[in-house]
Amino acid sequence: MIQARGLSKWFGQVIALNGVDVRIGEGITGLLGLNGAGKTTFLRLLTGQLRPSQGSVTLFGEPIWNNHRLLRRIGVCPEEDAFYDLSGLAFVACLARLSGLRRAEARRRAEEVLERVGLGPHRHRSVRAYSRGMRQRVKLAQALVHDPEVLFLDEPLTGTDPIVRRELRELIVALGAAGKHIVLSSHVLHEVESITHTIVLMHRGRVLADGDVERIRALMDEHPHRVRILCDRPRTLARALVDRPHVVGLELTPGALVVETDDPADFFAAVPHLVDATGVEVDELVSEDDDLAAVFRYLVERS
Amino acid sequence: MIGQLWTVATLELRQAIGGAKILVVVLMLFALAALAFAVRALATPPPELGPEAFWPAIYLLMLNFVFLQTTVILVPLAFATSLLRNDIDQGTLVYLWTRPVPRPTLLLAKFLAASAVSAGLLVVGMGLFCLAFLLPGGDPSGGAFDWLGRTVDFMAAAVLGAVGYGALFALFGLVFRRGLIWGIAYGFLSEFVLTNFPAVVREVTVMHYLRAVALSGVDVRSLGLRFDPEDLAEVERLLGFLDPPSAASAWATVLLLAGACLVLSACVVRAREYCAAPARPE
Repeated sequence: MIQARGLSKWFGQVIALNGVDVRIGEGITGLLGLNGAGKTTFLRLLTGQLRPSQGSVTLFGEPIWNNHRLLRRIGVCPEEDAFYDLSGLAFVACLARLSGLRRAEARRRAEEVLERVGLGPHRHRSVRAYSRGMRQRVKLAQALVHDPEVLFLDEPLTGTDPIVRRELRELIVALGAAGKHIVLSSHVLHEVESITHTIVLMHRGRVLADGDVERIRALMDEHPHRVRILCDRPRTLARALVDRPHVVGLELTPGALVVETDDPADFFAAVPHLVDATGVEVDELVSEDDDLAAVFRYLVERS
Repeated sequence: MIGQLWTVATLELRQAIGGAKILVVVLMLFALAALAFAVRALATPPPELGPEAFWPAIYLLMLNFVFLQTTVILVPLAFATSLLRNDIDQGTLVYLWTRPVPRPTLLLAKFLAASAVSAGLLVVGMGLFCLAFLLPGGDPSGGAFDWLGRTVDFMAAAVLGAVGYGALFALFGLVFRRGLIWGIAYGFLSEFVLTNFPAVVREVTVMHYLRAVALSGVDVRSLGLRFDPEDLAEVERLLGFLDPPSAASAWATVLLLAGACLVLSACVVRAREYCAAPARPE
């Protein structure tokens, strides 16, 4: 459906995207990366807002830049929290008109999609008076209003409270189940995992890995996990840990001990007993590999 | 396509009318009307000229310098240089750029809306100016001078200016990051200074043609001014009477220029990237 070949984009001296080769198939695909990874630039290239500096990107086999006919087949929910000063209904209907729908049809479709995203009762209120969660929904509504085949959602869950996040997540999953192809970007791994298992991992303008999230997690499991223990006597704890079978590395820092283990489950089970046995006072125990940064760090080191 | 054009034009109109810019312009127009009122109320015709010759001449000079050579440049400058800039700054450009409408069409719709706002403001401003000038004491020419006819000529020139300058400044806004600054520099150097140079130089300015439209119905000799031949030549030079083009050819020239600017703008907007600011990697 989407194919990028040697896709690069630079702004002056800054390289935002560097030789990206990736195919994005049907269904829901998560575009995952830390802030500054190049996700938004990639999405803007995929939606024809930017022109590639090098390489190419095609959607349904056609280049997207300056191809306005192709835009009829896509819907874009931008990251920017920006709107025209209109009511929710007028805003969505207006953009439906721009997508080529006739006036009556645009209004009918706008009412339908606003109902679908849960904004039916609030459709006559000004968008600027909406809460953050409602604004995310109205952005989604305008992306859906002309019934596109592909949806590009840039950080659609950012800034929303847990309840709205759950509802939006369910809505995105439902749209995927209804046959929409969706590319959504996020920097939160578990958020993407709860929506799709197909991901493209980006870091510093490059694609580090793409495919099934389980496969990428399996790669991670081969990598020793790092756990930082803040305690009063790190040397005593280090002596107790050195003989444990799954501890593969120890690093002493002032007031802390960093442990590398290839079996985190076994390690975490053993810690309470060791603390009891040694009488060490542990202030904090932090798994350094739980966040997305660790995934990227590992994949960057691997590559 | 008409529906899409209309929708974009409506959005542009809302942006133009809802912004702070229009307040500044309206205040400026009221200030000009107040100036006209003050001049008429406070000035006294010199003894060698009767009021029937003095006041029409003053009126035409003021319309020419205060309105035509200043306001008719500034108002389109304010609205046309920011055709895309407003959407870029507010982050709403993505909604236009990701719709199945060719970018030149979007630009054309925005240009038409901005030009309509500029033209409307200028016409209303000139009407106010005329009313304010005649308010203290009524018609000083005793019916000899066609106030309405001359004002309508200036209004026509203002409408043509809104289109011509609108297209020119729209191009500036697309090509230069600081289109407004470039527009001000161009407006002052070319349209204010060069336009008062001898005939050949001023023929390359838009103002030369706007004055031809504005003054097409005026004959300085018919104003009843008693000038020496040299002074008369000076007045004619100031008012742009030396070899003026016909009103029809002036309209054609400015519209042609506007068309050329719009074609260039269409090429620029197709070739260049415009993204919600700042266009930075994320």
